[in-house]
Amino acid sequence: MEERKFTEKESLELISQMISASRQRLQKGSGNPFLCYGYSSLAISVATFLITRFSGNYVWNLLWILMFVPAIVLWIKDRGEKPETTSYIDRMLTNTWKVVLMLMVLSLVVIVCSGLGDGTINMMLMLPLALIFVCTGTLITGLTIGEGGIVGMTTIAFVMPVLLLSAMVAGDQYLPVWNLAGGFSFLFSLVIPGHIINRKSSRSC
Amino acid sequence: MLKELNPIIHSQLRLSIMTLLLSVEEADFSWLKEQTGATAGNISVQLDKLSEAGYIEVRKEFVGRKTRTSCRMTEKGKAAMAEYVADLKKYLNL
Repeated sequence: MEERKFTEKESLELISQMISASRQRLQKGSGNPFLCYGYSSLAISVATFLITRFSGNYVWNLLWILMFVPAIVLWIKDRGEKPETTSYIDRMLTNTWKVVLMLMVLSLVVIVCSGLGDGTINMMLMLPLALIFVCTGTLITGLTIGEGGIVGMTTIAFVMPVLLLSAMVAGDQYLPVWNLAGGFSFLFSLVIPGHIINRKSSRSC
Repeated sequence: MLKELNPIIHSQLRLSIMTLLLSVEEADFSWLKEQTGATAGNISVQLDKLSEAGYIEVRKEFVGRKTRTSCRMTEKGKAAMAEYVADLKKYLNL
């Protein structure tokens, strides 16, 4: 682009051309973090269900803590690269997911600390709480990028944590199948939205 | 009598950079180069001029082993751009 005198009309045309060139598109692979967390949670849900079901030892529910592993993996992977542009929407979504992660860590800390005081750490609440936090994050993402499919899927996913909490409040005893219910919810709040986002981003690139 | 258009912005490449930076929060040097089709040297010169005017902030950092130059528009830059567009509308009777 050469430096030359240009008219007011050309100036306006240039502004419109640059705005159109910089129109935000989803970056290819934007749904990968969803898939990374989603498939990990599906694997953990099936593993915890099978192990607790057949061993009868509920300590294996602690495997859910492995949900923090994808966060560490993604953090290490993203440390060495930065996107070419950061839009205001990108920053908003990044902060939304930071809040989701922070709420999970805080909930875990509160449950462990209060459990240490009582002498029994009851991690049962962690699964529905994690599901509610994740569903909230995915709903905000779906609404922000204007993808109705994601909002619909997450609404289905939201039913499960509410049912789990209702069962807990009603005094129902823990059942191994609750882990599968969690996995089902993560399927609708992470795996399917991840694929929707990736399909959308590959179309827009 | 119409006011003169801001000479710092009223240049093809600088106006392109300002418009691009208006639509994103932060952009790196190679993206600006790709979008404008200008040479690296020319972009550097124009970024310096915009930075000296206080319209943009230029940040150099290491990402992994590579250096990355990123730019973002300042509040002063946003105000100048709004004023420029308002003046432009007057010129074109819009």
